[in-house]
Amino acid sequence: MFYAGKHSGVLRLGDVVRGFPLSWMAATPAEGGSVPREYRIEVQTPKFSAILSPCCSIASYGKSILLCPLIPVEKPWFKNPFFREDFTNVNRPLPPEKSVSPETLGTMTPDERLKHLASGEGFALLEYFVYAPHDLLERYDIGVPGEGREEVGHYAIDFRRMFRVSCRGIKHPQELNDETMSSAKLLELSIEARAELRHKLGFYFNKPAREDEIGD
Amino acid sequence: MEPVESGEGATGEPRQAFEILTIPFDRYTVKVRVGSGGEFIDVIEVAVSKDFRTIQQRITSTGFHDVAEFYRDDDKDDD
Repeated sequence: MFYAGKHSGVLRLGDVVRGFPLSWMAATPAEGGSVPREYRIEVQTPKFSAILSPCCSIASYGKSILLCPLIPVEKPWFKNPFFREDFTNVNRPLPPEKSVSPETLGTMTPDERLKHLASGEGFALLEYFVYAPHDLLERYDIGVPGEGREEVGHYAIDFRRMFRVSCRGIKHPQELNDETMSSAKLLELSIEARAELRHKLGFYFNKPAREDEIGD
Repeated sequence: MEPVESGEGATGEPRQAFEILTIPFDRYTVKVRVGSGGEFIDVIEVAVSKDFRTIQQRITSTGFHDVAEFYRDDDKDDD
């Protein structure tokens, strides 16, 4: 079960919410490597967003939460039959042979293939977490390369697109419920799905930088 | 239950029709050989299943497949 049957009415990590504007800043690099002096603020209104603040830190800093827009699944994921079977397979550690399509495995050199297959279980698509279809999340069409259009109910979040929203109505889960915020909340993850999100998010930030690795 | 292989002679002719099934059982996976009619022949292997691990345990021993290059969408626009 991906979603909780009945949601708690308070904001939790992984909740799907609506109504929050997304904003980010784009800066123009200055000449000579100095601090950029020109900025542009972009604002969008995604239909749905997911809460990425850990439950205990919701509203703990300026009544704010971290959000991430729900986006369509990526077209190239359709190449992998294991993902296509259920895109939430992206959320869990995979054996190496399922992390790429059989066709991709076939394009590797024997050495690359051996190294890949010997690598053990691990996450692929580390930056993404996929939300299962639900009646409250409208389905959409996506163009699958070489196959035409396909209707999809899964949505993804890309951790690299996280943003912060501050609002007085945002309350810590242990505070009394607020009607405005509870109407913004559409879906709550099951305990199991929230644990998967928490662990993948943690792994995403915990992965050692390639630049810090010693040797190969 | 998932069939994993069938018996076949060196010439490619069927030697004795059987299937090997992998059956999850508690913390173990059991491989059994069954005949073409589904009758039990013998147990091939009993192994510890890794699926009993919790998500936390799986994550702790988890690595990362560096496969992003195989999922690049060249038509995609960045923000």
